[in-house]
Amino acid sequence: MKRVFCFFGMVMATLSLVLCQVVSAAELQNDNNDHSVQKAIVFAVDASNSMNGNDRNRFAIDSIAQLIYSLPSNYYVGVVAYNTDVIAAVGMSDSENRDSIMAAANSVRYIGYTNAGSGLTKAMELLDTIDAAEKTVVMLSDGEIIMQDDTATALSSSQFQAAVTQAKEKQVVIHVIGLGADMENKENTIFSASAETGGSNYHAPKAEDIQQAVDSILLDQLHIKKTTAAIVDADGGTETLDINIPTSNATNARILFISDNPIENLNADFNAGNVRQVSGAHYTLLELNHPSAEKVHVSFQGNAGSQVKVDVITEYYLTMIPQVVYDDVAPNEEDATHYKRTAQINVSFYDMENPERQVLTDSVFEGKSLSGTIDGQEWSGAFKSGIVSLPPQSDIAENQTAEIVVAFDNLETNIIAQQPLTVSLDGAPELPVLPEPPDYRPYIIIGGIVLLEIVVGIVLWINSKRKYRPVPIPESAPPSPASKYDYTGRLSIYITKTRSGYDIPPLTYNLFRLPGSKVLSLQEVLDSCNVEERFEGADQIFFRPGAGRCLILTNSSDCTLMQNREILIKNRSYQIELNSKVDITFEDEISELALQYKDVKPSSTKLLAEVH
Amino acid sequence: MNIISQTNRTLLLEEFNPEKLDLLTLIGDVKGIDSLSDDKIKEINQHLECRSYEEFQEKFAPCIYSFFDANSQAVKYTLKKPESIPENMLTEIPLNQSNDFLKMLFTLMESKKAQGVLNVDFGFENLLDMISPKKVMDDIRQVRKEIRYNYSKYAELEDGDPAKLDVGDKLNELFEEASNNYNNVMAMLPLAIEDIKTRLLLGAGDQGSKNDQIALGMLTMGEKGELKVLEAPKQETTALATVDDNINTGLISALEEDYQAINEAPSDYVQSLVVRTFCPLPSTLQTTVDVETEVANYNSYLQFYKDSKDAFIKVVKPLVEKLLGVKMFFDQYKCKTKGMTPTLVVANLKPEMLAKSSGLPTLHAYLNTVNAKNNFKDTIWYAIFPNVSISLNAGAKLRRERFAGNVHKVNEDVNSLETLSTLLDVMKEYRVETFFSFETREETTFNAVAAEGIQKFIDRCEPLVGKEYSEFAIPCLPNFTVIPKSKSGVTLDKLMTVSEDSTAQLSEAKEDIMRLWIEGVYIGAAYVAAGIRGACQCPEYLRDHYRRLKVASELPGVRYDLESGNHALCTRTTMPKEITGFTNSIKDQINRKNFGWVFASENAALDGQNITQITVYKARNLLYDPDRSTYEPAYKTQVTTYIERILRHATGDFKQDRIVQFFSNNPSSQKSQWLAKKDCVNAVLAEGDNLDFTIDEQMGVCDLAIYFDGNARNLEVMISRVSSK
Repeated sequence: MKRVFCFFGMVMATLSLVLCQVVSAAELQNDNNDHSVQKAIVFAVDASNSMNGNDRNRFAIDSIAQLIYSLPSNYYVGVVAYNTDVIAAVGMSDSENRDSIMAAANSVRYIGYTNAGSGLTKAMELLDTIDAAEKTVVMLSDGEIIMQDDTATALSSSQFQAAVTQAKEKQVVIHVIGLGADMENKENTIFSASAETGGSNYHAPKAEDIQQAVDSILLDQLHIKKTTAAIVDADGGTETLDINIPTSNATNARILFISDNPIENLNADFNAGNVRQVSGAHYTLLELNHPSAEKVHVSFQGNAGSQVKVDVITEYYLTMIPQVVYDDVAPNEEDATHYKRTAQINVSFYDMENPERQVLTDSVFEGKSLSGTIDGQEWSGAFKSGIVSLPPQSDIAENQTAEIVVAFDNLETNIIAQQPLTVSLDGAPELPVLPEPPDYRPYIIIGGIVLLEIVVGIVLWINSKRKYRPVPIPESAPPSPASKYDYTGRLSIYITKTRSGYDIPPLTYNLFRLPGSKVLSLQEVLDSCNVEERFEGADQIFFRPGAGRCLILTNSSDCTLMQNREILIKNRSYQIELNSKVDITFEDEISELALQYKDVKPSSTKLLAEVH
Repeated sequence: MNIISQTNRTLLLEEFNPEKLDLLTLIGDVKGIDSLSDDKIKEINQHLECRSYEEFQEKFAPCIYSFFDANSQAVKYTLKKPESIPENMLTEIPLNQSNDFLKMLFTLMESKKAQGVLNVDFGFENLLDMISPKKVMDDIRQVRKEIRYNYSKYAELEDGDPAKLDVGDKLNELFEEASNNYNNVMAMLPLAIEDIKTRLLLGAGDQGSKNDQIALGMLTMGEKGELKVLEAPKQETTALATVDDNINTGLISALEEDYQAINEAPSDYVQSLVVRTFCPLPSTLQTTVDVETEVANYNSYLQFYKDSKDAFIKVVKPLVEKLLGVKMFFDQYKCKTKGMTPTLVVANLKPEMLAKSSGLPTLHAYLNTVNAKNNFKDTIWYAIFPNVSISLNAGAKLRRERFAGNVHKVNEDVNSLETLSTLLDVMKEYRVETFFSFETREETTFNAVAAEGIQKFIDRCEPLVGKEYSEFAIPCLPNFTVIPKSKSGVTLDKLMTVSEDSTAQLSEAKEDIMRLWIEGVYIGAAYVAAGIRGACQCPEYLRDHYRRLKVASELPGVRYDLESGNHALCTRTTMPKEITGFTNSIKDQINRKNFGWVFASENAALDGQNITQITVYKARNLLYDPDRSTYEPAYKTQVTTYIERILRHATGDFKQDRIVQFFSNNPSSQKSQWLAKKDCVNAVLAEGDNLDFTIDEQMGVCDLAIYFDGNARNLEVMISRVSSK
């Protein structure tokens, strides 16, 4: 017994058993509405009268567009505009409805005082309406909180402080952009919001600099991946550009044109599943859904002297699919009961909407390093043909699960994926005990039975085929004396319903050429018309010629035959007159046909005889 | 006794409105029955039978559906009612005379008919711009004038005056017409476009000068006698009340009220637009306009209008072509005293539905009921099968596309030749002659036939020749052109730009001209062929056209041969001439085999008057006579059918003794009666024709020989023997 075991162990050690398991996509169905991938951001903008001086061209409003249209689809966005009170509060809108935010923002007029307290409180209220993993407020202001009198100012300040505290508790990060000379002083109350919530401060001396501040927030704080495709100095003429979307197969690609002057006559040539264009005074957004080509050819007209910046933001909605490969090695220890198992986890990425399509396979990703954690332990790996291999997990004794988190920070695109990914790992199998010599008897018996069944089946099948050949009319059934009449006319057959659902063109069967002594079955007629469809019972419906150019029809089947609203009774013969019709419903109660017995004029008989 | 009262009932195998009942649905299940009840036939007639275009319009109410797609920010049109879209998001646009596109086409055809000029000389542009916002506005101006006139009368009359109620009725009607625009942003678009244009280009005037801001003034003389235009004082406040008389004020409030009442989501902008459109205010009311916004609005309206009009025309064109066909079918019957009016039974379904194996027994049952009885009131004599596909693939070489060329896209809405042959097989049993024409495109028009000849049509019909049903198949060509492809451009308007001194002006740049292409509108020849043939059946029609000849008032024109003598010139179609004519070599090609039902746009004169209409050049079916290598004239088939039907009726279903009587030389026999009317235009047996018969006792067959000017056509009938002998 022991010898046998050793032998078996050696075999196992040399030929390590490789098991492979792919976790199906269905098991890991991710819901992209899940809060863990959702994020939320509210833009709180100061719309006080002083903004008229600091932001004459309403760059602040455009920067809202710049911010919200640059955000990936998993961001819920909202906007709050405040002066003496909150004058606009819209949100939270998903990626489809961001236009409504812009509509609200565009209607904002700069008047009144600066009630940042109400503004921030409203922003916090908006954020409370939704469930998101990460919440952010971006505040834009050109001055201190100031109201019509000191009491009101104090009230607003305390409201502001309360909102900041609330934000801190709820881990909402506030970033502040200060505009104009009044905000140079970093001691400003409004800046305190960012200091307390871990946000950052930006100062834009001029309105034109807001753009840059928003860019910094996007890149540095929100870690949005975007690439600047081009910066064009417009000369008033038509500018043409070829924009590269380096990562094809993306779920979405947004091309955002930002300028200090209107962009006109924008034409784009691209391949994409769907496209949307949004234009504002100083920006234009092209949103391509499932772009299929890497190049987008764009032409537009900018005002002379203005600068147009073109940003490309791509994003992927992913499902991560793990593939686990086990490597089992027989242990050296003699008392071991289980194999030593190592699991190699490879993760590949599929489009969430179309789980058949593997993504991140483009050359730009090849070799890019990725990092993350597996069960809390850090790992790093690199893309190889769109697949990332995690470090092998050794000593897997029992069934267990591993939680994998992947950080995509190193990629130049925005990735939205359900995290963490849970992979179940199977425990190592037991070492086998010596197998008994196989007993082949049951197989022989089963094989014999199967063979016998096949033979019987074939015999039955041949018999059943034979059944559909016309059989001579049984003595008991319709009498079949050799008819003294001749066949005349023809049958027009319209197969109105078939079991397969196929439409069969109308058929004609010439009867007049047949000898009068022949008893014809409907199956024969259909066969000679090359109808391949099976009509149960057609072999039991017979025709023979009758007196007065009639046709005698006898039905011995269970089909339903109807003529002139009457059912023709089984095993009884009926005279079918010229130019009359019989409707037949076959035994399967599905197939139906209509049979017309038509006259053929003597001249046509000659014509047809010549043809045949 | 007038046994057969009509010989021109026509079955039209085409779908117009899937929402309305169709032939198959109306007939229903025919399992176990050979024919339909009289009630059923009455019901079918009630729903599908039309005696005029107006009746057709009313019964089938052809329409198109539109809905807005927020994704593409565009309006979408569809012929089939989309099932997944809720009713309230769907607008049904009826295609009747008040639809501007259809109206434009009708006007175009009328004016072409009236002018009698060829396509090459006809000013299509003048009429095509009827769908531009400017012309829509012109129509509204007319309504506006009437509203104003009637309203002033209404205001004048005292309450209680019965005349006031009459005016009120008239006003209600006018407001109803006007209000069709309120609730429909699409209909408001041309109004808005013209409105902005009027306000922005106020200064441009007719001098064609640059559009400067204007200030209204008065011409005065200065202190030293110099001429001056002084700016008139503006009356900005309470302008509504002070400008004009009470009529305007009343009308404005009536319009506002009406708009508010009708509209589900009233908007101030639209309300003032409605008021401005239907009750224009004097320009003193002009407040400052935000030129840039208005120009942007104008441009986007115009662009949207163009895009949606374009989409509308692309979708609606196939249906409109069919409607024009029906109209032309009825139009052929121009007759002072109406007699045997051609009747149309519209199947309202796609022919392939009827040609399916499941549909054929149904068609059999219908035709068996109407055509195989000795009652000829509902007998179908003709069928129209338009839009047969004409394959253009042959000879198309694969080549590099250096310039954007015509895309020969496969027309999906065409009927196949297989469908036609399947249906012909049924039609022949009931002796229904089927007029078919090829799909309507540039390749099947007069122009193309004049250039390429008719060989491709002969080739295409080849599979239908030499069959039992060939006699009943009549290929009609060429198709008629309403708008040629090359002249189908419509200029809607120009985009606006803001000039340096921030006034608006129409852009002169070429790319700013909003143009759309209708891409050719055609009419299938089968409609016109069936129409003219049907019209010629009517004795009154023939009498109208032959003043000096005898016309028998009780005989149908079954023997009337459009080809013979100057018949083609006397009974012309109503279609205006299109081209200068076919070349002699093409006419030789047609005459060599006498192929098809061919229309000609030839120069001809009758009684010293130039003919400006299209005439029938050939009237043949596909029955080929190899001995004389020619196709047979279509009338022979109908005469044979007519004689067979009369014979069956008159001889009590072919009783032998009565057949003999029928053909006897007794002056009261049917044959003698027909021969007595030999000299009439609509004689059943014309000069040189004769009838003969032989009875084969053994076979029980009566062989009829009908001699058409010496050429025999045989007809066999099974005789019923007298049973008592």
